[in-house]
Amino acid sequence: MAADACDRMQRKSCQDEDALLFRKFAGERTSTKGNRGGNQGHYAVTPSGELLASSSNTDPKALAELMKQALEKWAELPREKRLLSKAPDPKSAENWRRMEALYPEDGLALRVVARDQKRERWPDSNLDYAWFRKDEARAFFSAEPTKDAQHEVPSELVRRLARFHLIDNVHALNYTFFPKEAIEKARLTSTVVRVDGDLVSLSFEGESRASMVSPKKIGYAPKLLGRAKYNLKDQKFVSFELVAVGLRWGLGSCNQRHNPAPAPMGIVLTLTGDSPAERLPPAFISRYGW
Amino acid sequence: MTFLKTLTLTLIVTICLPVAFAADEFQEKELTEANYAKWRDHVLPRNWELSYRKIPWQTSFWDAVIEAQAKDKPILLWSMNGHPLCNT
Repeated sequence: MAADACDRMQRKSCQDEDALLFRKFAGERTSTKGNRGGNQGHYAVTPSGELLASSSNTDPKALAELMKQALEKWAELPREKRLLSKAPDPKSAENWRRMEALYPEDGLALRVVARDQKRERWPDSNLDYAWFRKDEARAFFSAEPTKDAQHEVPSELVRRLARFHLIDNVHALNYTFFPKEAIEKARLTSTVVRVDGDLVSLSFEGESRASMVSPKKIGYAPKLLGRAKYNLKDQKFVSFELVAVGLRWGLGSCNQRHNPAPAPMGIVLTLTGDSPAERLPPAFISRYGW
Repeated sequence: MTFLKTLTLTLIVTICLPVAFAADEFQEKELTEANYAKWRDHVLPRNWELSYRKIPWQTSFWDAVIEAQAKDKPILLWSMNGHPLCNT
């Protein structure tokens, strides 16, 4: 079982090995019911790229039928048709998975979840990731963490949050991020609440405002509050929460937002888990300047 | 196994979503220390919303091809604009 984005693979100009294989079956449907257009969907395929069954119907019964058909067809195929003539090379993927290699092993990886205050239609939340390198993570609080010590989180880090992570992707991915000039405010202050040995407890308070009119008239103006704990000996955060709440307005790009009227939206950043999916790169990692 | 998980998730979504929607409605538009936990808990996904993430997905099609080739097994691929397990 695999889950993967088709954006890159479906581009005809893309010559990556996985893309060449994907395009052998992309967009084909063996089921005729409930399909959407494009290449998004479920595919049962052989390692050689032979299509067994496919559908973009989200009905679980359709998916069960797809798998049943696929297994029947699989059983009929000779081995030489099922498999590639040559074993696929894991190193090939280094060409198109460079961003994954930037995962901050010793830094801070956060899961970013967005949701409207008013839950209107499914899906009503989405998630992305935000990454900070080790030195960036440590810059979230005072170099000399004593009780009540206040610290302004470096502007470039807060602005990065505002540009690429405090965005409206509640209903679907949003190809629109905020350009530098759209950030009118971006401030985050940390305060050392307590120091227990190596453990520093922090609170966060701040605000941001991003607004643009072209090519999309969109904006988001949240207040920020949060709390975290950092282990000085291990040099990493052991807990982290940052909550953003404020009005969002406008329609994004492909994000399935149909009502531009201002409405409250919340975004929460917490530590990631340890599954492979939690290491997927942030949507706009290529804009980090890393 | 995959189908059972998908079916379970769908049933949970179908049955629980209207209830969850009704329970989550609240009117506080400003974030304050007093309603911090309420907003946080409103936004964060419930366990049932994350059921699909319990499936041990390969996070790339190519990894699945490599594994399937080695094991002589078919691949079930879920493909979306944006990664289905991340920002889709």
